Amino acid sequence: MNETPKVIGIVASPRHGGNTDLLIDAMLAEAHAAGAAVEKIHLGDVDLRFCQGCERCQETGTCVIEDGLSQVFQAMASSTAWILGSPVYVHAPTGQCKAFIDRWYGAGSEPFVDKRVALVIPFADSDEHAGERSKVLLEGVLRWKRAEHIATLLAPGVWAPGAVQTREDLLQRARDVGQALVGGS
Amino acid sequence: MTDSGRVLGIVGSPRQGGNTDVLVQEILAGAADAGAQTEIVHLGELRIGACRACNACHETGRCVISDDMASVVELMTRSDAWVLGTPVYWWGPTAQFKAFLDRWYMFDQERAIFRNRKVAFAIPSGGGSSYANHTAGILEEVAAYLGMDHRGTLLAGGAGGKGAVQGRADLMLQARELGQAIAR
Repeated sequence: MNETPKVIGIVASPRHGGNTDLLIDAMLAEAHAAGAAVEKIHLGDVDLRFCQGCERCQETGTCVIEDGLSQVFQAMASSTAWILGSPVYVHAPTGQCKAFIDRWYGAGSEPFVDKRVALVIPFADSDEHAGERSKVLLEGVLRWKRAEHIATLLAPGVWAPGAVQTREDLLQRARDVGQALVGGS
Repeated sequence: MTDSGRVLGIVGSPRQGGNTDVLVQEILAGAADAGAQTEIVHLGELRIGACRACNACHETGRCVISDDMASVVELMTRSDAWVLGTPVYWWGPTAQFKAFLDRWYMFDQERAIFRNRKVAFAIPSGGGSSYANHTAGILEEVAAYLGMDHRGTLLAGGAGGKGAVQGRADLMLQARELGQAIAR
């Protein structure tokens, strides 16, 4: 692989400095140390509209909605790897995350195919099972979009914003994932 | 039976006249058969933004976002039963529906709005049943967690084209019966 690795972190939590953000920071820092260019995107700051179910993209290959997502898709397409992080809200990924994913329907293949992808799913419940619905949903979509799924970091037991800062176990696993996104192949 | 209460249908599909809309309307028609008053809202017609996780609602009891959620909450509060419909988009409810669901957090301190509230789900999908089952699982877990009175879930798999479910007498009958069950 001669291509310079480039890793994009996509934060689908509405919070800056929350657990999703911090875990992605740990992944990106490690990827950077391993020689990758890194960039972070907060979906909460992107003008992101809902899929309208018009099916036009299935005929023309292009989404009729013009908003901030085209830049996000471009960044993903230009990367070698990306991370998507969403906390669990009401047993599933956040509304922001779901809005993003629904739009993958009209996003073509460039942002996805053969990209090394990691997921990070923090949640308050200390039982890992509480992240399962989100995990199945997100990993299913990645398979469908033919991304190369590298890892899913479930992060149970983190409730208060930034609580993960004292969870060295989770931070270490995040660093390992950051490493894996750059290494190998 | 004159007092079967009020049943609110909430359509979480962006499409009007699509399968979710058709099924929710048929469920409401069943409820009307049983004497209920019914009304319907389409989330795609409304402006309901995503939760910002600011937690202000847990201090003040009010959401800081000023949008159409307030009017839906008013309808929800005055209804005895809710019929919640969403198609399956990627293993889950639509983003419109998920944004709406995330905003329920504003009631998290005082869950009286949910307790014993009758609820039914309508979940059409183009693909196989595993996707629909996953979506139903999410919604049914939420209903159980919040102590709601879950009266049934109508899964409508293989409902391909827009409004195609109208040609499916079996599903339309199930919808009608679910509406009657929720009004009882």
